[in-house]
Amino acid sequence: MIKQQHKTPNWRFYVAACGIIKVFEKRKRSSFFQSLVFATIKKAGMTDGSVAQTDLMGCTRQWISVWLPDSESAPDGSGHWSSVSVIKYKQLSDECVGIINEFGQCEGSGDDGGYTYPRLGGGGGEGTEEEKEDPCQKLKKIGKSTETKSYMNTLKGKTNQNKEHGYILAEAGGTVYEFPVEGLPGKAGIGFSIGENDKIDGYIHSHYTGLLSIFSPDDIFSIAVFFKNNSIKNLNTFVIGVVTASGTQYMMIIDDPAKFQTFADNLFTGNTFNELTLYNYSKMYNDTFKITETNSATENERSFLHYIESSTSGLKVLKGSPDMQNWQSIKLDQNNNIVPTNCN
Amino acid sequence: MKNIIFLIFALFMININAQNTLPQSGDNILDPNADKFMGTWLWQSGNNSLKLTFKKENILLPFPDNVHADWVIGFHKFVNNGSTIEDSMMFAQTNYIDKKKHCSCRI
Repeated sequence: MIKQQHKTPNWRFYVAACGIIKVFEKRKRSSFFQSLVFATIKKAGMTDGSVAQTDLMGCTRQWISVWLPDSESAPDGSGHWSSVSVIKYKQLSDECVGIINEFGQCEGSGDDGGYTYPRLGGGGGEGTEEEKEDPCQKLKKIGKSTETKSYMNTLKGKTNQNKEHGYILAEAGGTVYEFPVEGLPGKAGIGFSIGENDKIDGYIHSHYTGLLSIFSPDDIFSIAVFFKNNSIKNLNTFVIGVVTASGTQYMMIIDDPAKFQTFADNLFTGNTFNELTLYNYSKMYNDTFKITETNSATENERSFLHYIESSTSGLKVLKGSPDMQNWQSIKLDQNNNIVPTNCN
Repeated sequence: MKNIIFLIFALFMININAQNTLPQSGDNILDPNADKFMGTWLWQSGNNSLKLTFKKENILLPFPDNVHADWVIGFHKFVNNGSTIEDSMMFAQTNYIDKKKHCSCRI
């Protein structure tokens, strides 16, 4: 449940959610977390002496898609799109001859002409199928790492406590490091802050007895917060996980970054949550899709899958075995049956 | 024996119902229980008051496709020591689709 939301003139705003509390700060942070976990990570950005950020500077994420023919000898034949995400920190005004919108994108610079490429993910067109990585592959680097599985097991042992526990995950040199966080007794949710320029690889947490057997709406919104704050290091490997007192364990990955961006953008007005949209999505979660603390885990699982699939969130759910060793990608078929696919 | 058959039948029905709770295209989820809360409510004590106005609308949900539902929207005015602290009553004649700064209220 959203507890508070405000924005102050010094650009510090505070979002409290069931899953996450985040503090965004305009000024540069030199936190323990940053120095401990991110010391070896090279960051793009200004030097420490250039703390002030002007309106003309910005951090943007760009999706670059290239049409690759299936055969180099037949460049006009069938092919597929290949996409990568690039995060840039740059002097926006120098490069934009139009208007820089709220997402740091240059608009109104006119049609640059050129070849009309097949639409991304348009469907129906010959050979226009968007290449998407297998959800299980996206889980491999962080979600299924030995360390993460161990952290999930540790959290499992804490679901009988009266507060949520969690770990922020950050990979460096092939090892996934954890930064423990915890909530308040009797209160759903965990509060923590991440520096503006810090990047994380995931976030896992526990739901204690009496809480949901699956992700809460605010857990979903928290991914949107990470996304909008450019806190996600790699969209293709980022995971959010939950273990619950109901004996369930799930992870979510960003299956379709373009859809997720649309979903996340819809939750925000500028840099702050759109309260009305957020509340409506939470209300639908509870009242329309009827995902509740008292349902069976299977009922909630089915309804949750329906929720994230019909909302075109671009997210994908994976379900773990009790020992965290085996994972399945799960989805609904046309008859609303849960269809698992084993991850090897 | 009759009781056992009845019990099996009841469990079967419960299972059927559990399978059918997902909202589907064309559904209209009505909420008659909300009716008793509709209207304007006023609490007053000296110079302090809180006024709430609730109304119910049947709206098209953002998802799934083509699902409508009863939605309660509300407006409020809070006065403390004679000073108006918050007031959204000027939007009380607007509708959900106008997206004025009212709340979608849980009742």
